[in-house]
Amino acid sequence: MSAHAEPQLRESFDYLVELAPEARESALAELALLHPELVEQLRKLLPSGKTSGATEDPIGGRVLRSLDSAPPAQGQQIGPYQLLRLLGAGGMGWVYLAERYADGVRQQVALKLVRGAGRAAADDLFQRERMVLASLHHPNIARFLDAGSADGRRYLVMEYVDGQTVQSWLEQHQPSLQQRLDLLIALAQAVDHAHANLVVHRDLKPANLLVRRDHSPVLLDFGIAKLIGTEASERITSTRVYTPTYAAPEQIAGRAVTVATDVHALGLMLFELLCGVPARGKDDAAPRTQASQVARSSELPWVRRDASGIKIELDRIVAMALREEPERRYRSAADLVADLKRWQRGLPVLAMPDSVAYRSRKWLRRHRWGVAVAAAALVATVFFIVQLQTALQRAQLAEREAERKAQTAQAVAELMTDLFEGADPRIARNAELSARALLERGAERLGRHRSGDVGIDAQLRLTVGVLFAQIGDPDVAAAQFQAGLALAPSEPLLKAELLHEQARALSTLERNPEAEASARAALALRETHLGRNGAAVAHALQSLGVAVQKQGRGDEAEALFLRAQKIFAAQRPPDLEGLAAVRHNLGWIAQRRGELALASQQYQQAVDEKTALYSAEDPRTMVSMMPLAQTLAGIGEINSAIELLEQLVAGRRKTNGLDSLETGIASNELGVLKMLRGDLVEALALCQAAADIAARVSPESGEHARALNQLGTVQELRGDLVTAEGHYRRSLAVRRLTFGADDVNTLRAEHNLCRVLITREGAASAGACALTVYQRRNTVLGAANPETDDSRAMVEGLSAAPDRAWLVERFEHYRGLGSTHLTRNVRFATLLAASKEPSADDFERLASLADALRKFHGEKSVNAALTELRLAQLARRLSRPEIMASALARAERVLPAALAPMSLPLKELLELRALAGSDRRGQ
Amino acid sequence: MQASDNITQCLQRWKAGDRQALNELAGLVQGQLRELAAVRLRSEQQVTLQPTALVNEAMLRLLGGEVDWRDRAHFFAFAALHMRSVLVDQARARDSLRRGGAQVQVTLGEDLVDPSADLGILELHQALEGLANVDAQAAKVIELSYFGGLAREEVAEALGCSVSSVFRALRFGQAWLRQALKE
Repeated sequence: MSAHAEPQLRESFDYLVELAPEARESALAELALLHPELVEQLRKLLPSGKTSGATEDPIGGRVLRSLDSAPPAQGQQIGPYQLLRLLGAGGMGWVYLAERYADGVRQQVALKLVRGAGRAAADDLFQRERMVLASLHHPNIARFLDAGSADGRRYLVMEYVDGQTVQSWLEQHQPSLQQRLDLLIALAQAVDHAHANLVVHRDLKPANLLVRRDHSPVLLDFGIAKLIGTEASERITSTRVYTPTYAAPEQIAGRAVTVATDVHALGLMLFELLCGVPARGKDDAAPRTQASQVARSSELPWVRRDASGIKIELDRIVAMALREEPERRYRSAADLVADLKRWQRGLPVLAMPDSVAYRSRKWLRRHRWGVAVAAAALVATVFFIVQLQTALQRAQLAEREAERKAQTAQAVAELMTDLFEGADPRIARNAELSARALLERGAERLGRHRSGDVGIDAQLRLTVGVLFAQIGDPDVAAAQFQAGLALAPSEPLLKAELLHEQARALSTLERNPEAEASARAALALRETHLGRNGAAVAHALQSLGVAVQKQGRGDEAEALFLRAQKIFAAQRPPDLEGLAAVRHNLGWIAQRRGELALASQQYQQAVDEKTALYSAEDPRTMVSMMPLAQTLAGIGEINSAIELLEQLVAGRRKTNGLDSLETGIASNELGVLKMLRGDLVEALALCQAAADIAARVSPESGEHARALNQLGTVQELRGDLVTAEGHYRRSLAVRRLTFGADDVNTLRAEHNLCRVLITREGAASAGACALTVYQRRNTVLGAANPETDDSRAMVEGLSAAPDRAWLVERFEHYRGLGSTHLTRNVRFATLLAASKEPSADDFERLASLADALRKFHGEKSVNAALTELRLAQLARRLSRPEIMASALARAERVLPAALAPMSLPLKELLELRALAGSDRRGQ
Repeated sequence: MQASDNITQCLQRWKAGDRQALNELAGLVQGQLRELAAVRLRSEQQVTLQPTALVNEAMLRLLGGEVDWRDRAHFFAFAALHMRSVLVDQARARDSLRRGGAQVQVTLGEDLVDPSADLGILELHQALEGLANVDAQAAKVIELSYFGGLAREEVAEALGCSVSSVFRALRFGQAWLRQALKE
C-alpha cells in the first residue's frame, strides 16, 4: 500500500467503525467513488455484521501458545527444585538438571517439565509415564523420584544419570565385543523387567540410553511407553509415536505393539553395537541383519578390530530379533538374553536361518495373493456385480439388445452368487485367499457350465481374465482370453477386447510374436467397426507398438505410436492419459536407439503429464520415472537422475511398501548411480536393501540375482574382492536356477565371478574360467556381441602377448557408441596400458576415459580415479614423471576415501606414491 | 533483595545511554516476567488477553516500593519489547532445531511435537512489523498490551497519550492484525 494512503486508512477506520451499520455502508459507498482501493481495505478491517465478537483472539492465542512452549529459564524454582541447566528438549517438554536442597543435603536430579499442561493428550502422557516409572525398579532403569506441579506446570523427577551417550561411549572407549554384548544384555534385562511389569517401552533407541562410568546402561524416557492391556484396542490409533529408524514393522504399519516390538528394537541396537552404524541406513529402509559382513567392511577401526569375532550365529540372533512377523521373533527379551549368553559360552544358539521352503511359501502367498491386489480384485468383482444389477433393471424396460445384456448380467450374477455361496467360510475370512480362490473357482466353473450363449460366456472369460491380469498372473489371464476367443463370439468388439487384453498379457510374458498377432487382430477389428480414429483404435495401436518394439523393430513401432498420438490428440476433449502413455513409449524408442537426450525429454514430459493427471506417486507416473533417471544418467545428468530416483524410491516405499520388487528395483537402480558417482557406502546400503527385499519377496528371481550382482560390483569396485566373490557366487546360483545355465544373465555372473577370481588368485590358478566363459558366450551370444568382447578381452589379458590391434579396434568402436560403454572401455584401455609394449596412445586413451567418466559421473567417480591410477602406473613405466605426478594426485583425491582399507588398488597407490618419492630423491 | 538494587541501577544506566545495561536488565527480569505471564495467561479461561498489570506487578516485585513514573514508562516499553524478542528468538531457535540445526542430548519423542504451538509467534511478529509501517502507534499499543500485559490506562501512561486514543489504536491494530494473520 502506498505511503500517503496510510493515515487516511487509520482515520477513515476510526471514523467508520463508530457509525451505525447503515450509515457506514453509505459512507463507504460514497468513499468508493473516490478511493476504491481504500474502501476495499477498509471492508476487510471493519467488523462485518455477521460475525459475533466471540471469535478467538488470534493475537492473544499466539502469545499464550508461545509462552507455553518456551522453556523456563535456568535458575528458576519449580516446586522445591532449582533448575540448573537444560539437558534436552523434545515434543513433550524439557529435561533439566535440577537441584534440591533439603536437610542440608544437595541432591541433583533430572527434572522433566511437561509442555502444554492442561491439554488432554499431554496430561495423559504425563500420567502414564508417571505410573510406568513408579512401577519399575531396576538398576538399569532411571529411578523415579518425585512428581508434582508448580505454577500450573507438571513435572517428573528422575535420578540424574551422570553418563554419556552410547555414541560417545563407543567412540571414546572403543569397547570390546564382549563389553558391547554385555551392555546389550544388561539393557535387554532392563527391558525384560519392564515387560514383567506389563510395560512396553515402544521407543527403545540409543538416544534413550546413557552409559555410566562403569559401562552399565541406564534406560531413560518411558514417555511413550504403554501399559500392556490398558489400551482398549491394543492398537496405536493416535499420531505416530515412535522413531522411524528404530521402529518395528508393526509400528510402521500401525498394528498392535507388543513385547516383540521392543525385541525388534533390541535387535536393531544389537546390530548397531556390533557394527557402529544403525541397521537401517535410512529411516524406512529394511534393516540389515548381516552384522558380520557389515562389521568386516566397516570404516571404524574398533569395529573392524573385533569383526572376526562376529560369527554367523550372531547374524542369526540379529536376524531372529528383527524378523518381520512379531510372532516369529524371540518371544521375550529374556529369550534374546539367553541366546546371547549361550553364544558367549560357545553353546549352539536357538536362532536358526529361515528355511527356503518357508520363504518360498511366503513369497507365493505375497506374490499371488498380496492383500492390496486381492482387495483390488474384490472391489472389481463387486463393482462388476453392481454394474450388472443396473443393467438388469434397465433390461426390464428395454428391447432385445438390453434383453441380451440382462442375460449376460444374469449369468454373471449367478456365477458370482454361486461363488460366494460356495465359499468356504474358513477361507472367506481370509481376504488374501478368498479373492484368488473366488477367481479360480469362477474360472473352473466357466469351464464346466455354459450359459448357452457364446457372447455371454466370452464376456465372462474376459472379465475373469482381466481380474487375473490385475492380480499379477498374466499366464492364467492369457489362458482365459484364449478360452474366450475359442468360443468364437460373433460380437466383433467383444472379440477385439479379448484380443487386445490377450496381447497385453502376452507382452508381459515376453511372448512377443504372439502378442503382436493378437494386437494386429484387435486393431483390424476395431478399425473395421469403429473407424480409424476411435480412442480404442489408438489403444490397440499402443499395444501393437509395444509388441513390435520388443522385437526390435523400432521404426515400425514409432510409426504406430505416432498414429496413436494423433488419434488421442484428435479426441474431443483430447485423451490426455493416452497422450502421456504415448510420450513414454516414444521415450522408450529414443532410448533404445541411443538418442538419450531426446529420450530424456520425452520421458520428462511423460512424467510431468502423468504427475499432473494422476500424482507423482501414482504407479503410472513412477513407471516413467525409472527410464527418465536412466536416460538422464546416460547424458551425464547424474545428479538429477539420483535426485529423481531418490524421489522414486521414497514413492515406491510409500505406495508399494518394503515388500515390493518395484521398491527393490528402484533402490537397486539408485545404488547403481550412487556407485557411479562414487558414493560407494550409500550404494552398498541401497543394493543391500534391494537384495534383502528380493530375498524376502522373490528369492528365485532375476531381481534378486541383479541386486546380488550389483552388490558384487560395488564391492569389487571398492576392492573388497572377498565379499564381491560371495555376492557373485550367490548371484550365479540364483541365475542358474532362474534362467538356466546357458542364459545371457547366467553367463554374465560367471564372467564377473571369473574376473574377481583372476584378480584375487592370479591367472595361474583361476585363469581357466576365462576361456570357458569366452567360448560359451561365443556360442550363446555370438561373436559380435559386447559381452563376448568382454570375455575375449579377459582372455587376452591372461595372454603373454595380447592382441593389441584387436583391443585398439574394439576400444575405438565402443568409444564411438557413447557413455554406456565407458566402464567396458576402462577394461580395454587398462589391458592395453598393461601390455608389454605400451605406446603413447595409451596415455591418451586412459586420460580421455578418466575425463569422460568424470564428466558423466562426477568428480568423485571411482572408475575415473582407478583409471588415473593406471595412467600413473603407465607413466612410471614410460618414465614420464610429470604425467605420473598429476595422475597420482587425481587418483589420491578419490581413492583413499572410497576404497576398502586393504584393497589392492589402495596398496598400488601407496606403492606408487613411495616410488614417486624415491624417484624424486634419485634425480 | 539483591535483584531490585541491580534493576534500579540498570534502569538508570540505561536511561543514561548505556546499551549494555539493557542486556543485563534482560537477564535479570526474564525469568520473573515469563513466570508471571505464564501464570496470568494460563489462569484466563478465554484465550483473549485481558490487559493486565503484568509488568507492573513484576516491577513492584522487583523494585519494591515507590517507583518514578518516568522509570515505569521506560520499564514498560522495555519489558514488552524484551518479551517479544525473547519469544520470537525462541520460536526461531525451535524452528532451526526442527530442521536439524542442533543436537539434543535427550530425546523425548520428537514426533509428538505439535507444530501449531510454534508457528504463531513468528507470524505475529512479522504482522506487527507490518502494522508498525502502517501505524506505529497502534503497533506500540499492541506490543505493550499483549507482550507487556498492560491495561489501557497503563499503556496511556507509558506512551503519554489519552486512554481513548489507546482504545482507538488497539481497535485498529487488532482489526489490522486479524486481517493480516488471516491472509
